[in-house]
Amino acid sequence: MKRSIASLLVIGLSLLPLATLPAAEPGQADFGNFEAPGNGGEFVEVNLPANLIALAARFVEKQDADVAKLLASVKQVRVNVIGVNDTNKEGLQKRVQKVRTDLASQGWERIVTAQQQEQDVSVFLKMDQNSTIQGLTVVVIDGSKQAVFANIVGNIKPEQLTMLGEKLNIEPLKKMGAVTAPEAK
Amino acid sequence: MNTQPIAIRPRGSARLVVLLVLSGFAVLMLCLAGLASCFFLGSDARTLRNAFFKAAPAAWHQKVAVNIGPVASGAVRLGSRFFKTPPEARAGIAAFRGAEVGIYRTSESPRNLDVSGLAQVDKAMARRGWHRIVKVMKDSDLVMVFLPAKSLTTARMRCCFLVAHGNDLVVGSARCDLDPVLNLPEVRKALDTPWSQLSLARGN
Repeated sequence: MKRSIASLLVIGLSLLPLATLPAAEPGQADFGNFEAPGNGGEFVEVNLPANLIALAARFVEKQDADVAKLLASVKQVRVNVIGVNDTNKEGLQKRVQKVRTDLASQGWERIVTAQQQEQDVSVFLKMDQNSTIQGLTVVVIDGSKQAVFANIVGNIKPEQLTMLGEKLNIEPLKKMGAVTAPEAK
Repeated sequence: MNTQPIAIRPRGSARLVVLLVLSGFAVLMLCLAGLASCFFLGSDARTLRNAFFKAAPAAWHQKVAVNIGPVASGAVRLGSRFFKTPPEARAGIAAFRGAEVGIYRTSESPRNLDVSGLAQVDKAMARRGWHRIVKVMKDSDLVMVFLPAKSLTTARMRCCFLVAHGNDLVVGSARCDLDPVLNLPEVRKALDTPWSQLSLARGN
């Protein structure tokens, strides 16, 4: 009896970390782990958590309440930049394809596809039923220069994107907001 | 005849002397420990350094380690009150809550960093409640910056960092309270001014 209670306790305690793990956000894209390229290739990984973004939002609260609201609705930003060389080129091209296929199968909408010479850009959006943007993923492979994987997770309203595009005069953002707005559907 | 008070008095004073000597010794030991801690990294920076040593095994030698803890930074803040300083400098001193840095060097030739080993660095720091926000690598050069996974406020900003370049390694952490700087009238004004007005002012 004592032994079974002890084993139950051990199992319970070992499962405790799993219970406290945060559930993956629907807008989170899984790029996997990247290895740094050798031979002088660069590797950059930026991973901004919600608390840092919320802090930034508080800074701009009085300067621009709309931008602060937009920032507050962002939960995570992850950017990976990997230098492309002869040793990792093939692997990265396969990874780009895999990420695109995975996103498409997980209900992400491909909203931008641009290919020119060795450049290949694709932008994916994940939206809920209310057309709120839960995730934005950008995958770029630039020939023999670099590959970029970026993922923004949050609960962003399309009109917030339009507003940001108008404030900063970024045309693609303005268009993106217009495309994803519920009335445009 | 009552001789009791005469017998108690020397025993009481002896106790007092022993107590004074012991407390003096304790204060001296505390001061020595405090002084010694100025030359050792704190637990978070030490974890980061040790995890990196495992990821990049080499004979690392310590060149210098300095740790300005809360007591030393508090003393600097207290001391600065006796000097007339501009408000910006005063705010800077008031914001400083402590810093530590360790510089290490290896004579072995630098190799490419072990990626799985660096993942262990992340795990070791995550266990202590740190979240890596930046990792930049190029050959044997590496920059890593960590922030607390929770409780990040302007009054309690903390970061841990690691920079490896060639044969050198710099590990450290810094703590500050941004509120004194944010409460400077110039900063307050800039933060309270809407962006639209700032761009107008720039345009003019």
